[in-house]
Amino acid sequence: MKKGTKNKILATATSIPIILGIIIPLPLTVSIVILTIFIPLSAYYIGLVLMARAKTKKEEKERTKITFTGY
Amino acid sequence: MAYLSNINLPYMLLEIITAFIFGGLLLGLQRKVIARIQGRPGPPIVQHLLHTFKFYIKELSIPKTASMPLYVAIVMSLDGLWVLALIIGPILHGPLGIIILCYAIHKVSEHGIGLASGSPYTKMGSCRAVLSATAEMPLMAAAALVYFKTHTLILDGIINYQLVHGSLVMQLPLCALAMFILLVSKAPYSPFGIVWGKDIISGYKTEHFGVIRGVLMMGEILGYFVLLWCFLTLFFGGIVKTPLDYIIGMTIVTIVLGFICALTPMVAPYHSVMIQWIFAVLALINAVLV
Repeated sequence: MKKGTKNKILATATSIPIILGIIIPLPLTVSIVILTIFIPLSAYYIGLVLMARAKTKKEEKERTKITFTGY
Repeated sequence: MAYLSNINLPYMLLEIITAFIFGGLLLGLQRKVIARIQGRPGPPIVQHLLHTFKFYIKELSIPKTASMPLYVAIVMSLDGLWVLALIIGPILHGPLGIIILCYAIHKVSEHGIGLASGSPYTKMGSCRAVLSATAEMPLMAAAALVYFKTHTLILDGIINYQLVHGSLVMQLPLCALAMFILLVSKAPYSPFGIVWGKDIISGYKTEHFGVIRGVLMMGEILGYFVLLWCFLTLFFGGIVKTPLDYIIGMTIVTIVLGFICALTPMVAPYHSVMIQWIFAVLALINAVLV
């Protein structure tokens, strides 16, 4: 599996408990555990996905850049 | 505690996001104050938040000497710790003991972050984190004295006590001063900020780049917010009641901290610990006198 795909899956998987908690009413203790564990994890994996996207965009820009070497 | 039934995950998430944004703005304000005192225009107030977001799109490079997965996991644990402290303190008004526990463990996390990368600078930062752990004494002393005065360590009870008997700052002024010294030690560019002193580059976070640094900064923002909230609640609980009071109070404390940080050079590690111990002892003397 490609590293980018793995990070995307992990970013989704770590965000799911938080999204479920927003939709379904959960006991207070469960909510605290979910937020404590999954906020840092999802922040990290979402960050990795954003970083990869920014890197791809930068590479694309570099690749398509027209450079003039002289007259 | 009937209000606890209304607290759910979306509410807590909203509070965490609000604390993150407001805490980031406060740290930006502190940098602005420092810059103005030093005769510089300084960065915009929103800069600290932008700086945090910027790291999310920067490339993550992990040093060869780093011990994985500790290098990543310890930063996550630090972040989780501050989220927990935020939930227990400002959101639930729960036990103060858990917040103190979070402060104690955060020193261990700082030590771990420093050791995990394998760099000599971060190791030096982590050693200083252990050294400065003894300087957490003002918080312990403040908590103990607040307990002796109010007979409770539940934040809700402490707030109720102050609503009836007046703010604790009038009854335990030296104790409030000791806690304020702790605030000074936790503020960026602090005279007691030996853990991330510029003599060791950036201390324990020298080798943390990209997303990891972003997550680390997120935790620091939340930690700063929780500490300011604890200070205002513990000692100004009779005056500071509404969210607007907290916003005004935190802004004033941040400006004062900015002045102190701008005008005071960083002290040597041993002196830093010694000064904080002196203030902890002063707090204890206050308790004996009361």
